[in-house]
Amino acid sequence: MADDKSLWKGICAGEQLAFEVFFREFAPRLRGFLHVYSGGELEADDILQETFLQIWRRPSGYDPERGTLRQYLYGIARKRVAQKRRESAHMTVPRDFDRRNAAHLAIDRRANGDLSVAMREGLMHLDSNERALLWLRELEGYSYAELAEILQVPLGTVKSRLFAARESLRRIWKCKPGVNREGE
Amino acid sequence: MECNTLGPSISALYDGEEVPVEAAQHIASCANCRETLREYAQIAVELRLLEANQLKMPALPRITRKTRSLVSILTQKMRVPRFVAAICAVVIALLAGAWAHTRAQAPAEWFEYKIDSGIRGSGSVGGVARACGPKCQLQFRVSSDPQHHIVGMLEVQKIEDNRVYLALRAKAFASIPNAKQLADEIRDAPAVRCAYKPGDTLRVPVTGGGELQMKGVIATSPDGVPGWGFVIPAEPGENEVALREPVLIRDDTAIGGYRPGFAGGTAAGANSGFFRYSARGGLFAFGLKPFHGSVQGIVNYGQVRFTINGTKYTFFSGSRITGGTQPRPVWVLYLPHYRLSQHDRTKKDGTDESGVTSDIAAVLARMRAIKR
Repeated sequence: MADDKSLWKGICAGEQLAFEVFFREFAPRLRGFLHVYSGGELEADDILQETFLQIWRRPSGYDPERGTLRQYLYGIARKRVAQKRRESAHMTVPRDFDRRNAAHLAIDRRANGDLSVAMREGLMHLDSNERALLWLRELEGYSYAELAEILQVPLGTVKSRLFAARESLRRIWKCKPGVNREGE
Repeated sequence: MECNTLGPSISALYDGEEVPVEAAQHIASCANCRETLREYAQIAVELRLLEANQLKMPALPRITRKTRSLVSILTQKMRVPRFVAAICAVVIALLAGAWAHTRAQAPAEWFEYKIDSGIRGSGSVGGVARACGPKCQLQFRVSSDPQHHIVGMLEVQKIEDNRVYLALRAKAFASIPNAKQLADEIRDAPAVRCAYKPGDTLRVPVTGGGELQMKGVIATSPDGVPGWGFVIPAEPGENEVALREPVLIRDDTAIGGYRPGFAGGTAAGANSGFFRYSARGGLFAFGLKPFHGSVQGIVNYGQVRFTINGTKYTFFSGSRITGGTQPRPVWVLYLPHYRLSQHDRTKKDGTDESGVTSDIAAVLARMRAIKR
């Protein structure tokens, strides 16, 4: 695995091979994050492409002194998602309805033993920022300080949102179908 | 300490972050809180399984070097501030402008000329002369028959105000002496010196009899490299034949080395033709009317095809080969075993291969004997 500095140097020099190595290293996991964070597979793929293209075109935006290349990559991806949301705000289906519906689906799926789908629906039940935080913490292993940097939120907010996310999922996980449905 | 107030601390503890000592002590001893920790771990496992299920390599974005702008390269790859890059760009633009202006003001260096002896059937010679004075003297030869050679020397001193300052001298020989003697004799011939106006016809008397006629143009191509449009007409007339940058295809094989060539004449005048020689291919002579030993070929714009002893030949030219209605016939004589080095005595004297030799003059003599 190439280190951040040599990868970044290569990308800055316009070396396509360096970019390809960088892409293969980070793209699959970033896609997983974007899928969860943006809530849609197509949207995630779009944002993923835009994110990598932005790095290819303007690699000087990354400062090795301020963090890792992966951190920078996730930061750009998050901003892209936020930008997409702003642009399509007038078209968005009310999130509350989606989230409540997702919680119902998650509970039903879990009752049927379809745990992966249940977890997916459970994640959709969360606020997007909570989803992003939980995903980055559990799967990417970022510290609270790094999460605060990536998501541009205070450290305390990281802590409280992570707790809220876990609690929501835990409640869904413990809930039996047809009873104690949140929001009803 | 109540379990329901410790939620954020349980979450933080699970993540390995620092929590207050009291909270840690409670969680360690509380079955409910430990159960919550276990459930958080279960959620983490489910998340990892979910990720593993949906993990796949996305398509690589289509990137090219062109997607990055020059400014981007200057300011990012080289870590140069944008304003510095802008100043550099302006300086480069000014220098480029100054250079272009200087080039535009620079005097022309090349003179493209054509010389003929005024003797029908002798053909003409042409070339490009550089304006560099005595060190760039050009020797040329025009022959009308094996016993009459005209050898001349052209020297272009400078080109200024649409005038070509040149010196031209020529002398007639019954046979060509060796190179040194030839050069000495031509140098002794009186020169015509003038400020030649491009397009005019300059008449120069030949020592020993005869007259040369020269026409020329100043090479004015934008890049300063002279073309050959004057010597080889881009659109030959009905009674002219020309090969521009010719390539010969013999059966399926390309044979190079044939120099560009041109011959002019009129139907009412002598039956002119011209020849092209290549060490690999031999000698070809072309005429617009039948002559001894020739076969008929067919010209169709930029190519001429003919068959000799069952072998198909095609010459491709960079422009039309002859004028008039296409396709139309030409006549070709082919001497495959002709070798300039063996036959041309002037070659042995160290002169170049473009001269008309006695053997070739003999070919031309055959052409003059065209069946009418």
